Amino acid sequence: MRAFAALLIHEIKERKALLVAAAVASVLPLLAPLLPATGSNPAADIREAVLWFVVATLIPVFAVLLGATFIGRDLSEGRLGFFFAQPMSAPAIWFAKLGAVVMLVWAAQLILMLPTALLSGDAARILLKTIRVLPDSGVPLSLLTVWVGPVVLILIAHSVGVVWRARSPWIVLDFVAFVVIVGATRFVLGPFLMVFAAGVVMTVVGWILASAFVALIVGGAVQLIVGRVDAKRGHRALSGTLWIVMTIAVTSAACWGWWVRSATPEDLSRVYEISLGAGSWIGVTGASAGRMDFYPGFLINTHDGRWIAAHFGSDVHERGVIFSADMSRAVWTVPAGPNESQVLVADLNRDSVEKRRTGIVLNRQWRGIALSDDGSRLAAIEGANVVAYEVGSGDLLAAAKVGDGFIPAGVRFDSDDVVAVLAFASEKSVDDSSGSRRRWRQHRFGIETRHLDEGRVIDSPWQWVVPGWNSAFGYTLERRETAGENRLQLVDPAIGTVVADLGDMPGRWSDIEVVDDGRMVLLRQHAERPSLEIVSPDGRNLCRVDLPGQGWLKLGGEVGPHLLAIGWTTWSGEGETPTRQQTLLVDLDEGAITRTFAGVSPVLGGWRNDTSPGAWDIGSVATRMMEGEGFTLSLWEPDTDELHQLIPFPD
Amino acid sequence: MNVDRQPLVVDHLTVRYGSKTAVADVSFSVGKGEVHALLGRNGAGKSSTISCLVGQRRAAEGTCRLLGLDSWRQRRRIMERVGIVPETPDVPPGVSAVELGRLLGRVRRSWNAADYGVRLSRVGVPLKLPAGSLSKGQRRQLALAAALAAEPEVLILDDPTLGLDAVVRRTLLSELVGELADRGTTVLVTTHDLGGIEGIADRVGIMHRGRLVLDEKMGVLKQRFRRLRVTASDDAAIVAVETALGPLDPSIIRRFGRRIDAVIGRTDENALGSIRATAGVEIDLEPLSLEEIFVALCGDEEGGA
Repeated sequence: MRAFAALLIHEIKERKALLVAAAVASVLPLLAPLLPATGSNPAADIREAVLWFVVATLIPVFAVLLGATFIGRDLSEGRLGFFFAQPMSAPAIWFAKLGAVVMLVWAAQLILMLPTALLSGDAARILLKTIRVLPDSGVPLSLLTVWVGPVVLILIAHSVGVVWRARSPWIVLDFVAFVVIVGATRFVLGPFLMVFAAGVVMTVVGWILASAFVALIVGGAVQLIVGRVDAKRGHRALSGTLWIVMTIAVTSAACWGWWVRSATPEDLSRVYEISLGAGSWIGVTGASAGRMDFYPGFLINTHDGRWIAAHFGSDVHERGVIFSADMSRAVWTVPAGPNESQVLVADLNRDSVEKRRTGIVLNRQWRGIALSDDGSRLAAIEGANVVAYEVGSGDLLAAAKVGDGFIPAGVRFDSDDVVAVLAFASEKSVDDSSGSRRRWRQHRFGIETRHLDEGRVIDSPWQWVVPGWNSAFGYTLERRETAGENRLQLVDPAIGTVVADLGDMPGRWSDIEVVDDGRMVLLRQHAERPSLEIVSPDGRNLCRVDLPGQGWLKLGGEVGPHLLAIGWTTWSGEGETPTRQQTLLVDLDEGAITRTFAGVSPVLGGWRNDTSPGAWDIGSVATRMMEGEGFTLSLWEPDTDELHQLIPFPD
Repeated sequence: MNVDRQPLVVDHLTVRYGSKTAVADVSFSVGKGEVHALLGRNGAGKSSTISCLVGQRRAAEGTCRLLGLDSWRQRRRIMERVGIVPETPDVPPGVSAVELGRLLGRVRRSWNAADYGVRLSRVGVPLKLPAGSLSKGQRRQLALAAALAAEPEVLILDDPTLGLDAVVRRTLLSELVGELADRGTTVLVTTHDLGGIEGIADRVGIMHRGRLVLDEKMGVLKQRFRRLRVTASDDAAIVAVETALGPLDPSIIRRFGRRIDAVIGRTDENALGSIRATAGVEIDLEPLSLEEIFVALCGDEEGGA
C-alpha cells in the first residue's frame, strides 16, 4: 500500500502540467461573454455553453493522451523495468498508474468547470447535470459521460496503444475477436430489437459495456502481471483477458436472452393482450417476472392446455393472433426486419400444433389482417392498399389501392372471394371534443376479379366505433346530428330511409351491441345513472335495465342464450387505477341482472378487441373470458358456475 | 558449496522470442560476496538472462533464483534486497535525482538517503535536473546511486559502463569494487569493458549464441589460456606440430608460412613436450588478457548470436 501510494503521487506529480493547462483553459468560458459576437445572450448561458465545448474538446484529448502513454510509453521506451525493479507488485503498478491518470483527468475537469460553476451560483447542477439516460434509469447522464466517459477513453486508449506498440500477429486475432463479439452481441440483441424490448436491450448492452469496462481494467492488470516488460506477452495477456471476459459476458447475455425468450405460459404473471376466436384457442401476450419489457406470447388451448410459443411482438404494429372462423388456423406476424413483418401460421386441428412461416411478408405498418372462414386466404391492409394472399403457398392473389383520401383501417372476409374493407377519412367536427371526426366507407374487394368497388359511406356516431361492422344485420346504424345531439338511427341501407330513431347517445362511453338474434343493446351513459336499453331489430324498445351506479361500462359478449356480460368498473378519486371491477350478467328477456362476478371484467368489448370471426358467438370461450384486477385471466364455466383462473397459472 | 543456497542461481534457463531461442539451457550460480562477470557479444543472451533473473521476463524453461526466492513468482520480495542497474537507464525522464530519492525512499524499506546524496555529489550528478536532461553517463550514475542506496544484498549491473568514456568507466568500476567488497554484496555484471572487469571479477561466464560456453574463476581461466607461437624449419615439422596441438584444446589456429599462432585452453606439459621435441621447432608460450581469451572463444566470423 505504501508503494502504491508513493507511485500514485509520483505519477500525478510527473504530469502536473496537465492541471496547469486545465487551469488556463478554465478562463476561456469566463472570457467568452466579453466577446462582441455573443450579442444579447445572457452571460451565464454563454459561459456554460463555452464551458461544455471546452470540456467536450479537452477532456477526451487529455484522456486519450494519458491513456495511450501511462503504460504504453514506458513499455515502448524500455522504462517499465524501473517500476518492476522496485518492490512493488504488478497490480500495484497498474492501479497506481491508472488511478493517477484517472485522478488527473478528473482533477483537470474539475479545475475546468469550477470557476464557471461557482460563478453560476448553481455549482451542483453544472458539476452533476441531471440529464438522464432513460426516464426510469435514474443514472445522471453527466455522471456516465462526463465523469465515467474519460475513464473509458483512458482504458480504450491504453489497450489500443499496447496493441499498436506490440506489433504482434495477435492484432489480427484482436480484430477477429472484436468482430465476433460485436456480431454475437448483435445476434443476442436481434430478437429484442425486433420487438422494441428496450429494457432488455439496455440491460444486455449495459451488461456488455460494464463487462468490457471491467475486462479492460482487469486486462491491464493481467498485462503487467503476466507480460511485465514484454510488450508482446503483455499484449497477449491483455487481449486474452479482454476476449475471455467478453466471451463470458456475451455467452451469459445469450443464455439470459435465451431464458427470456423461452418463457412458458406458466411464467406469465399478468396478461396484456388477448386474442380470441370462436373455439378454445386463445392468443395471449403478457408479462413474466424477470423478463422486463419482453412480453412472451402464446397460443393456448383453454380446453386441453396445449400451447405453442407465438411471440406477437411488443410494439404497436403487432396485433396479436387472428383465428379463422372455423378455428382451423391461426395467423400472426413477427418482425422480420426494420420494415417488414413475417406472417406465421399454425394449423390448430392437428394433434401436434406447430407454427411455420407462410412466406407472406407484409409491410410492418400493416393495419389489419383477416382470414377467410376456412383460413385458406389472408387479407391485409398495407398503407393505402388491400392485399390478399393464399396462406398455404404464400402467393399474392390480388391487391388494390383505396383512393379518395380514404385510409383503409380494417378488413374482413365477407366470403372466400370477397373482402370487405373499412376505410376512413378524417374531417373537422363541429361538436366533437376531439376536434375531428371520421367518415367511414366500406368497400368490397373481389379477389378473383381483383376489383375494388367505390364503397358505401357509413356515418359513424363515434370516432372509434363503427356500427354494423362487427355484426350482420338488415339495417345500418347511423349517426345523425340533430340540434347538437348525437342521435342514433336505424337506416334501411337499400333506400336510405330512417326505420327508427333510437334516441340520443350521450357521452363518449355510450355503446351499442347487436346480439345474436338481432336485438340491439344500447348502453346510455347518462350523467346521473347509466342504463341498458334492449331494442328489437326494427327499433322498438323492449325493456330497460338500470345499472347499479356510475362507472365505466362496457358491453361484453353473450355468455349464453339471451345472457349478456357487462363490465362495470368504478374509480375512486382522480386516479386512473380502477378500484373495483365487476361483471354483470344481464338476462335480455327478463331485463334483469342475474349474476355478478366481483373483481373481473369481460374480455370482449371495449376498445382493444379486434376479434376474429366467431369470437362473439353465444357461449364461446371468448364471451366467457374475463380479465381480473392485476391483469389476470379467468374463464367462466356455466355448468359449474365457477371462474377458473387461467393466467397466472394457479399453483 | 550447495548451489541451491547461493544468492544467485540460474538453472537450465531457456528464453525464447517466438521461434527464436535467445538463451539455451544456461546454468550458473554466484556465491555470496562474489563478483561474477557475464560476458558475451551483442545478442549473446546476457540481457535476456538478466531480464529473467530479475523477474521481468518469464523463462520458457528453467528457473532463476535470487536469495533463494523464485525470480518470477517472488519478484516483489526479491526486489527489497536486490539492486539493478539496467543496460539502458530507465529512470522516469521527468524525475530529478532528489525526487527519485524521495520516491524510492517511500517505496523501499531499506534506503540510505545520505549515501545516495553523497554518491551523487561525488560523481557530479545535478540533483534538481530532470533525468531526461542528464547525460547518458549521469543517468547511469544516478541509476547506480539509486541501486546502491537501497543497500542490496545482490547487485545486478547490465553493462553499466556502456557509452561511458574511459575515465568514468574506470572510476565507476573501481568504486564498485571498493564499496561492494566492504559490504559483501554479491554482484553479477555484464559488460563489454573486458579490460575494466578483468581486475574486478572473481568469476567469469562467457555466453555465445545463447549458450554458456565458459564459466570459471578468473584466476583459473587466465592460467589455462595461453597463446602458443611455433616456428618450424620445414613443412613437415609444421604438419607434425598441427597434429600435436589437439590435446592442448586450441581455440584458434592460424598458420603463416612456417609459423603457427594458436590460443590453447590447456597447458598440457606432455603435449607441449612433444611439440618441443619436434626437430627444427621453436615455441613461445605467452599469457592472455581476458579480452584475448574472449575473442578467441567468441570471435568467429559469423559474429554474435
